[in-house]
Amino acid sequence: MKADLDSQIRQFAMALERALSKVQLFEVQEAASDHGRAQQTPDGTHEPRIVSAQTSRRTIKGPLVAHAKVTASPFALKGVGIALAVAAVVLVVFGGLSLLTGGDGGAVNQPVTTASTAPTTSTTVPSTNPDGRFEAVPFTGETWQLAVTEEPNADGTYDVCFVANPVDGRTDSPTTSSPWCESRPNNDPRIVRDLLGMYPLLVTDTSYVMVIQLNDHPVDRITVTGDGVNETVTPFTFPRSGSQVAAVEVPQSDGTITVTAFNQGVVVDEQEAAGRIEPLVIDGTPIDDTTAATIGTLLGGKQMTDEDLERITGSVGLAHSGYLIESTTTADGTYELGLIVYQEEPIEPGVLPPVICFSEYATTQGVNVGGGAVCATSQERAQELADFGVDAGGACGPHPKEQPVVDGNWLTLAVWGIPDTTEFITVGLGDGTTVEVDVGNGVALHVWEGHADITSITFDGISQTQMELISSYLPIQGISDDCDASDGEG
Amino acid sequence: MCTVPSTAVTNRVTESAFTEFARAAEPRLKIALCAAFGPEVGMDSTSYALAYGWEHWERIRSLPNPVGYLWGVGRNHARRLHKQRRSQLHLFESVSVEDTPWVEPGLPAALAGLTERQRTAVVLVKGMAWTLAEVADLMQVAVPTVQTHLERGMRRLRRDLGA
Repeated sequence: MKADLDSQIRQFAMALERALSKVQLFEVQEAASDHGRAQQTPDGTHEPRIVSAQTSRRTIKGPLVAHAKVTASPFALKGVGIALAVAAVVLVVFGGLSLLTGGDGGAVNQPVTTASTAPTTSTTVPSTNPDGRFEAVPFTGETWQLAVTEEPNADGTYDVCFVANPVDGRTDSPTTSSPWCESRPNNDPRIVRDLLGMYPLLVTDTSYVMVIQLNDHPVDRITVTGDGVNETVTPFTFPRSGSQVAAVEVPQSDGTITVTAFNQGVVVDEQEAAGRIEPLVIDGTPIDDTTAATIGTLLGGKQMTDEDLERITGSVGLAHSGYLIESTTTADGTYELGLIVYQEEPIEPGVLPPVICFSEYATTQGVNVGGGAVCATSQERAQELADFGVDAGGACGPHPKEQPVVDGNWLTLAVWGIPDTTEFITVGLGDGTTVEVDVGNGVALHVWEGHADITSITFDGISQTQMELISSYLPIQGISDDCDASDGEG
Repeated sequence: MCTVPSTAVTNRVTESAFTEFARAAEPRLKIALCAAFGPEVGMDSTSYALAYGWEHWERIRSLPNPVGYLWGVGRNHARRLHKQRRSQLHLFESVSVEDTPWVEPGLPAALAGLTERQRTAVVLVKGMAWTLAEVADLMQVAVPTVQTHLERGMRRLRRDLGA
């Protein structure tokens, strides 16, 4: 006769626990060596050891010096009839904080010759439209052009915008990108203010165009070197605002490149850009131009089509799911985030969707709520938001360029002005659960699940670290073929 | 006089903090990941998560729920392993009648048939006597969510086992 189900589970679990208690996965190596001395790292510290099963392929990348070796014989677990052969792999990790932040970061002070591949040119062809807008195409590649515009504001300042265009007659040209604009005064103390590579403005089959923003400090030459890149470009100066920008076509790669700014042969700034992100790949296939453009223009208020999202989710009938797409750091050092939400029942315009978006961030960080998109799950929350001056009925806060787009089951919206010092924001879902989304580490795309059943998304061409971070939020294929779909697993 | 390089001191402080954390976190991570993914993958994933924790310790130590974060890291690693070894991997081996005579032989297979979250909730709450709040904290979900997974998991087990 068997015990009741609860008791059976308890006995089963206890047997499992007994077996597992015999295996210690973590230890600090303080045991004496063969010669009776404690093993220490060269700087006098002990070595933390993390013992893993034989299949571990854990690789620690970056400046940490790490290696793995097989150090123990197989052993067995008993108790629930489990025979588990494990060969211990010891990860011996040397180093500490200095190495964690290390890297040689060697300066590149020598003149660098212009690369022979995919040359990037710089020209200045001022022209002014009747409406006072200045336009130019200062950067070109074989298949692309980067056009810029400079638009006067009422207060005498100028917005500068970038638009990537295809080259006429080239069938392999990327499609036109969404315009990217900035109006921030040029008061950043950094000479190389930003490396706009986090979300590629323009992507070819093998490369993307990296836009380098500069402040007002004179710069007459920019070199981009490392990881197979060896490019020299001349910055373009907007004639009215004085904004400086350079653009260079770099291969898609995970490596680190160094951007060096020169003035009259002297290095005036140098920064590194690591883990250049390749285009999003879904189901092993790069997303097509339409989808890419749609994602790229999310922050411009353009909605994705149902077909686009259906392909991305690989599933319909979700309770609700969300996609958070991080734009690059903007000119004023803040983040822009786009959000797509799907819910099973059609969303009625003006009715609060079943999500809270960035509300914790907006209310706790003292940021102007009106500059971001905020949603509420309850009337109480809506009132709270209304007290902040947010149109709770419309669910989302206003932005001059941004309004939430509701189309059937899909909601797209955006939040602006998240400080670059913010590492996490809290995203609340309709059932009261929350997800912390890491926004401060350069990850380009986050996906989270509410009760979603998202089973077929893969991301290729990004670094391991980025993948791991993304994976933290990415629901992937479950382990059973017979899952209850309503539970949100494949 | 012997002076210790500041880097070494810093390293020791960092290492000490991580050691303390890992010693406390390892048992919970291990049992939870093994409950969810079976002992083989669960242990591998625990070590993976701890290694990740060491590598990113400066960031992870500042998180409000570092164990929950590493649970996510280990979980995703486990999912990858399961996906890779799907054809040849059994979640739980059959129970030994001699060792556990009161356990239905079909229980391991029935547990394996649950969703990952159902199985985690069932084994941790019913088997390990974790509270719903403890499981919710680990999985970084709401308590009612754990309750839902638990109830559905138990319902499905009863159905599969004819209990």
